[in-house]
Amino acid sequence: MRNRNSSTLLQTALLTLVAALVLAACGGATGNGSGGGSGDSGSGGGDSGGGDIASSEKQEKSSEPTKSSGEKQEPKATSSGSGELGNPSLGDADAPVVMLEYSDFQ
Amino acid sequence: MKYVEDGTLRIEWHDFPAQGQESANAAFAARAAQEQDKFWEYHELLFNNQSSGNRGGYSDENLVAFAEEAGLDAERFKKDYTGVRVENAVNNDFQKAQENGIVGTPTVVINDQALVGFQTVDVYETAIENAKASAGG
Repeated sequence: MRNRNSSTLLQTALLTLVAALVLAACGGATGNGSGGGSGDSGSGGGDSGGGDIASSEKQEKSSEPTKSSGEKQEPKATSSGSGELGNPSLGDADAPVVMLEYSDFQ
Repeated sequence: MKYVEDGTLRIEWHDFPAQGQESANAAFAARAAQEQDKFWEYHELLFNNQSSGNRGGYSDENLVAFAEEAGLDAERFKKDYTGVRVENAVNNDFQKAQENGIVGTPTVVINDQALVGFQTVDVYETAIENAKASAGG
């Protein structure tokens, strides 16, 4: 009796576990499917690499200056909390002329 | 500036702190001001109190004092000033500028034209007018 009850309980538990696993699997797939967009995730731009700004000897690279012009985006001087801090800017975001100012406060 | 006001020009700041630690500190501080939407006000204060040679003009104390003068929340400023977000912004800017061939300041790139070193207002205006014409404006 006791054994029979135990085995019934065991079977019920196993069935419940299987059902839970199936439900979990379905739920996960649904979540991924509708997520779709992946929404930029901070874009990265990656690199970073530290760049110790205190040393001015890092300047030797070069070639002729520029070629950076138009491809910079969202140059808002805003503070959005997380993510990268954009470049401060003045003027219309769609202005036909963009001036990139590389400067130092000293 | 008239070109900004009439929608012709957008000016975008890029940090190039090549003169040592106080250059870097001033750049961090200005970006900390940016976190409170007061980059340009702080920028003006820095230039009005310009320091050179890493002799203490841009010490932490002075930079905080400028922040207070600009009406910034000083506590938040101190936190942002030493924060990684501001540090990354400045370091990434400096690194990318070097990768793009910038070698000194001031360097200004107007659309595709680079102007290296100090220029007269006429030179900048001519470059803006030329860029505007090329862009069909």
